[in-house]
Amino acid sequence: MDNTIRALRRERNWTQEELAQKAHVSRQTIISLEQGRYDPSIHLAFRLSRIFGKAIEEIFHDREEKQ
Amino acid sequence: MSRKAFIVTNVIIGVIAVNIVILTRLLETPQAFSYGLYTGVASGWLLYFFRGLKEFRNPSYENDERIQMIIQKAASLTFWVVVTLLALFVIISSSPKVSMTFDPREWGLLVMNSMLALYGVFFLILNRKL
Repeated sequence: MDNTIRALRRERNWTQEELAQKAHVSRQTIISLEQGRYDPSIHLAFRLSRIFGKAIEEIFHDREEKQ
Repeated sequence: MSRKAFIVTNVIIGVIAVNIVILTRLLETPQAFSYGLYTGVASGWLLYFFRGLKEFRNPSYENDERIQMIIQKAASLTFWVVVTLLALFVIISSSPKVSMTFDPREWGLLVMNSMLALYGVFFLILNRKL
């Protein structure tokens, strides 16, 4: 699954550590999410959606759907 | 980690520790072995206890959903690899062409050490990949 977490974080001038604190996850999890190596649970996806004030579909994109 | 999980885990570790002391006394295991075991259990317990307290005071969220998933995957992979290897080992050791004898202690050590080592390796690999 692709996502726009890195772009959204940079728009807000947050560090990975700051976003990790807001999302209640480790910094390593934010790194993995940004690199697309880890797909979050539905709970974490909703939390990120609330943090960024965006709909889940605006943050996460299904790779298969794109094709 | 929730406070409830922390308390329940500490109680479980406590019960295990007491049982280990009772068991080693009843079985009259050698002193060096018993004290080695007590030291290992006590240091592991203290480490968990103080790490838990620190986490409550200053949450680092290191034990998040990603790490929990890695732990589950590493444990599952370890289980199936060890089961497969043991099955293979049973076949090989059943052959009259192979002369191998193991006592129960050696079997126990083999299974325990291989599971611990494989779990560590799988954890490190998954932690890098995910």
